[in-house]
Amino acid sequence: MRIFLISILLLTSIYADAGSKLFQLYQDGAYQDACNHGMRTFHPNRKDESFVTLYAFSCLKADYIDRLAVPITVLKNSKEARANATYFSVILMQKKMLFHSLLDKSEIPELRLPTTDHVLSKVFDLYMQDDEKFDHDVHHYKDPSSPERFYRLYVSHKGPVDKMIIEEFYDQMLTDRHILW
Amino acid sequence: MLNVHELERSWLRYKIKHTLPYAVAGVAVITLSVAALWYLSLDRPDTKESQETISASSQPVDRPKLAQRPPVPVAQTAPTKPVPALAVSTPPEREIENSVSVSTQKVARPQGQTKVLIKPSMGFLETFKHPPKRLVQEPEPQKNVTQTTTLSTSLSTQAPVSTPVKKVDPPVQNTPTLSSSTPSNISITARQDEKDIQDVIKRFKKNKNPALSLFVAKRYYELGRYQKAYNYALITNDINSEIEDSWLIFARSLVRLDQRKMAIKALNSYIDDSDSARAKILLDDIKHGGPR
Repeated sequence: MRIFLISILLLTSIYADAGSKLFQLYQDGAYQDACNHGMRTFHPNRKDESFVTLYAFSCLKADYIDRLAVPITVLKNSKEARANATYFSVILMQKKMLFHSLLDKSEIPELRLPTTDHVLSKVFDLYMQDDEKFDHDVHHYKDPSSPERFYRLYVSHKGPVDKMIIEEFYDQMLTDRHILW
Repeated sequence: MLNVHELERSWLRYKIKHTLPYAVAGVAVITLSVAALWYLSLDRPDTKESQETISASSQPVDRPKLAQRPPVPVAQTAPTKPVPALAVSTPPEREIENSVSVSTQKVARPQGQTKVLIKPSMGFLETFKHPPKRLVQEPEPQKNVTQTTTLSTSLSTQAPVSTPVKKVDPPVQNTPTLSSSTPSNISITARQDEKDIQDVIKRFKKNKNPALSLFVAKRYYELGRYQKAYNYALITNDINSEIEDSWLIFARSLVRLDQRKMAIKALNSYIDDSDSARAKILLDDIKHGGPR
């Protein structure tokens, strides 16, 4: 009887402060850990939209864009949740379209879509404006709003999975690299 | 005469039979919980998601096109004020639904087309910063979040600024009061953040450590007291002109006080001396209307 009670207590204590731990990891900048933690503890907290939103932002910052799919479907009960779901869905859609176009040399026609302030959206917009996108494998784009910033977009075929890589430069210095697959 | 050994053996058999169901149940529960924990702790890599083949047909010779809509001609509009909007594609004449939590604005594109910019809503973070009041915390002795000290404003007069002070958002944040229901009745109360700073100011007056004045400048900036933030950043720069953060707070405070040109001038002089990347990024932001 005692063992049964102890095991029940162990199970319940694991999920007790998942939200606070997720927030702590997010604030510490450990976005990958936060995303993994959120994924592990997602099911019991799926009805908490704040938890789901924070999990989604953690995965976004950790460049796990595909993991936004589930939060997009779950976030629908409040105005803020729907707004964030739209934000995530735009980024996810742009990532998929860009990936498809880069790997399969598929033309993306001019679609009037919203954009976001995420680097993926910026690169997607610049890629759409590129008339010679299929002529080279590595794409360099200057940020029209900031002349010192530019982005480099290319596909890496190393490893078992092809990866799309976006590198951000400021004044010739690499500031960030996003590896997406 | 009783056969004690036989009696003990039969008692032992009885005891084993009696406790066997509980033992089996306990072992089963433990096994199930371990299995569930192991299953939940599995990292599912995104390679499984990415291996889904895209069904769109694509050949190197002719490039197939995705579902296409005829392009809608849009008149070029300059980004004037934020337009709250939430739509995948919106015709220009359609009114956009007001949304409090979504901030959108039109972004002018080089080809003359406007795009709707969607920004995320970060209000959900408040639920983590300010948890519900019914939350019971473990008792910790003397857990006052801030210390109260006497106010001292003599330092603020050492670096006078001719520009008037402008009250800007955000206001001082008050953390909620939490009380525990433990028998010892320890109450945890959080006071205004501004009083945190007075203790640091006191210490700075004694030892003139630029790290302390930089801390004070940052705290005042976070509280929206940009005039004071500017003053303390100036003091820090006077003591040690090589602290990058101090220059950045100095410039940001000037921008908040509507002294953008002065901020740009200060940053340019700092960049000439130090070639700091962060200063360049901030300068770039200021020139383009920032910082946010």
